[in-house]
Amino acid sequence: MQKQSITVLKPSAGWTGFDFAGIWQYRDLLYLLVRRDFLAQYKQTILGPAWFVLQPLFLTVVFTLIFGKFAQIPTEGLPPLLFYNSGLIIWSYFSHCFTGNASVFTANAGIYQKVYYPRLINPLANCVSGLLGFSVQALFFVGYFCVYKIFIPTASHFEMTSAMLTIPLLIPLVASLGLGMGLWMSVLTAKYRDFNQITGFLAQALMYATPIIYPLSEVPEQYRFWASLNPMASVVESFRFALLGKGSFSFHLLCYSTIVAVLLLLSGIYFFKRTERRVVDYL
Amino acid sequence: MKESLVIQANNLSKKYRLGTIGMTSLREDLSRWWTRSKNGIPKHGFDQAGIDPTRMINDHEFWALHDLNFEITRGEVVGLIGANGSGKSTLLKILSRITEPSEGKVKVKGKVASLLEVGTGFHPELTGRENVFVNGAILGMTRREVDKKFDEIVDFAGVADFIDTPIKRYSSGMTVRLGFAVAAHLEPDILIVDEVLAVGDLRFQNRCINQMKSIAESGKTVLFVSHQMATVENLCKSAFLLNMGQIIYSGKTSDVIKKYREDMEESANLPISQRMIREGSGKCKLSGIEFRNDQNKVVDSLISGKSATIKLFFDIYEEITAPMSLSLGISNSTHVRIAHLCMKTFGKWILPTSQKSFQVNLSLSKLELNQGKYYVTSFLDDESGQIIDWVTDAFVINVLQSDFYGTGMVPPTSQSIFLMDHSFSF
Ligand SMILES: Nc1ncnc2c1ncn2[C@@H]1O[C@H](COP(=O)(O)OP(=O)(O)O)[C@@H](O)[C@H]1O
Ligand SMILES: [Mg+2]
Repeated sequence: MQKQSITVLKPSAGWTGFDFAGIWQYRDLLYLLVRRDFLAQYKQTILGPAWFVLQPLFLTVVFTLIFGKFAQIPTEGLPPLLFYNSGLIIWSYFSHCFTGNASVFTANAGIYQKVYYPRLINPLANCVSGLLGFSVQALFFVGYFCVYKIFIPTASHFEMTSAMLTIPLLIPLVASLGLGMGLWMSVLTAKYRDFNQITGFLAQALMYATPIIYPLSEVPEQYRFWASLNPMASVVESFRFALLGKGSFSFHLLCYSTIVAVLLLLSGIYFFKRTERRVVDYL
Repeated sequence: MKESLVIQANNLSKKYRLGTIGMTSLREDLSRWWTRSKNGIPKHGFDQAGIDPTRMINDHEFWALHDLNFEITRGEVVGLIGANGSGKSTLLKILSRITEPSEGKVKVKGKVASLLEVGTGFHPELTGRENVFVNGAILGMTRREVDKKFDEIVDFAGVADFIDTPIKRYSSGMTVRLGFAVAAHLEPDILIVDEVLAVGDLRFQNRCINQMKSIAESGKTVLFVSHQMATVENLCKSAFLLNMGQIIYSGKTSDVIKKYREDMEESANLPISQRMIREGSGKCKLSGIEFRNDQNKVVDSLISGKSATIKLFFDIYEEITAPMSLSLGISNSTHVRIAHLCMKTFGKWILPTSQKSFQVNLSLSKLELNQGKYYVTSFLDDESGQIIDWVTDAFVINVLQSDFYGTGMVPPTSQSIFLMDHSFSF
C-alpha cells in the first residue's frame, strides 16, 4: 500500500500560506470554470460570443456620440472611435476582474457549503475568462486600426509605438489591480450586503476618474497630480500610447501603479484567505 | 497515527453562533453597536429555540460538536446516526475541510471526497456532458480521470440519450442520478456521504448502495449518514450515535440503532413542549395533543376502523406574520415513514393571529391503520418555507385492534400496516 499523506484539520491561526500546491492540483477545475462561464453566458443569446465584441463596440459608439460629438471633449487628434475603444477594452478587463470578483463568496455560497476546493480558484478563473474577452477585443481593435489606416489615412496621425513591448506587463498589472480590489470587495460583501451596491457605483466612479473619455493631458494642471494617483490612470494612458502613439508613458507612474497593485493583491489575498475560513459558517 | 487508521479525532469541537445565520447589513450592525454602547449591555436578541441549554457556551454560542474522540480504520464503512441537529452534517463538513474545527484536531489520511449534496455546481444551461466534467473537477477529479470514467458515469446514471441536452431539461430524478454517478466514480481513500440518497427511485438507491459497497470492498473507507435505518444497517458494519453534539455510543450497527430507538422513545415520553430534539425558529411550538374518539371523548388510544380526531395545541412565542402550514409525518414502529398529512395538500393555511395560542384539529373519518404504535413527526413551516417548529416523533398514536372488516379477521401487522377497504368479486 502506498504511503498516503496525512492532513491535520485543526483551528488555524494567522497566515496559512497561499496554497499554491492546492491551486495547482485543481488547475483543471480552473480551466473548466472558465469554460463553463463562457458557455453559460453565451448559450442563451442569439448572437452568442459576438457580444464579446459588440458590448465594447456599442459603448465606444455611444461615447463617440456623447463625449466626442456633443461634449466635444478632445481626443488628442486621434479618431474618437480608436481613442475610446483602446481605453475601454483595457478598462473592461480591469472592471471584469474587479466587479466580477466582488461577490465571489455570496455567489458561490451554495457550493462553498458543500465542497472544499481552494476558494481562490474562483477569482482566478474569473480573471482568466476576462483575459479571453480582452484578447478578442484587442484583436478587433487591431481590425479597426487597420480599417482606419487603409481607408481614412488622412484622418490623423497615429502609430503603434515600441511601447507595445510593455503590453505583456501592463496586462498582469491590470489583472492584479482588478483582482486585488475585487478580493477586497468580496471580503466586504461577505460581511455586509451593502457593499454589493457599492461595487457597481465604485466601478462607475472609477471609470470616470480614469482617462478613458478624456486624455490625461486635458485634466487641468492643478488636478493632474490627483488624477494620476488613480493607479489605472497611467495604465490606460500607457496602453493608449502603445497602441496609438498619443498619451503619456510615465515610467514613474507605472512603478507607482505596480506597487499599489502588489499591495492590493497581497492584502486582498490575505483577507480573502482569512474570510474563506470563517465565512461558510455565516453565509 | 497507527498504520491502520485513516481518521483520528482528538477533542474535536465546533462552535456555532445562534441566530446569526445569514449576512448582516451594515445598518443592523451599526444599530446593534449603538444599542450596545448606549445601554452598556448586549441586547438579548438571540433565539435559543431547539438548542439544549447544556450545549450553550454563552448567550450566543453553542457547541454543535463537543469533544469528540474517535478513530476509524481503513476499509471500514461507518454509519453516523442521530436526531436532527445532533451534529452529523457538521462533523462531515469538518472532515471534508468545508469548515474548520473550533477546538481540537482530526487527522485524515489520504484523499477525501465528500458528497454532501448531489450535483454541486451543476449549471442548468450546460449539457450533461459539460456538467459532468465541471462537477467532477469540483469534487477533485482531473479532466483525464473524468474522461476515463465518462462512459461508466453516463451508463450508471442511465442518461446516455440526454448527455448532450442542457441539464435544465432533465427531470429531477435524472439530475440526481447524474450527480450521484459522478460522485460514485471518484476514487478517494475516504468517501463521505450525507443524506443524499433519500432522493431518487428505489432501484437507483439500490444501485447506489451497491456501488458504495463495492467502494468499501476495494479497501476504501466510507462514512455514511442516512435517516433510513434499513440502509445504514445494510451498508455499515459499525456506527456512531451522535446526540446533542457528542458521540454517546458506538459499536455494531444493529446495537447502535437499537440504542438510538430506545433514546428516541425515552425522549418521546417527555412532554412535547419540553422536547429538545426540535428544529426551527421556535416562534411557535407544539405544546400538546389530545386524542378524541368517535364519541368525542378524550382517550389514550385510537381504534382502527373508527373515526377519530387529533387536536394539536400550539403556543405562540413571537408575533406570527406569515401564514403557516402544518404537516404530519407518520412512521411505523420501526421508524419507516408510511404517511404524510399536509395542510398544503388542501391549500389550507393557519393565518397569523394575535392570540397566544391556537389549535389544529385533524379529523380521520376512518382510521385505516392496523394495531400498533405509530410515531408522528410534526412539522410547522411558513409560506416562505422557513421552518418554525419541527419535532421528530413528537407523539405516538397507539392504535388498538378492532374488527375492521366485520369478518372477525384482520391480517397480521407484519403483513399489513394499512387496512384498506376492499372487496373481492368473481
Ligand atoms: N452555519 C451554522 N451556524 C449556526 N448554527 C448552525 C450552522 N450549521 C448548523 N447549525 C446548527 O448546528 C446544529 C447541528 O447541525 P447539523 O450538523 O446540521 O445536524 P444534523 O446534520 O445532525 O441534523 C443544529 O442545531 C444546527 O441548527
Ligand atoms: Mg444533516
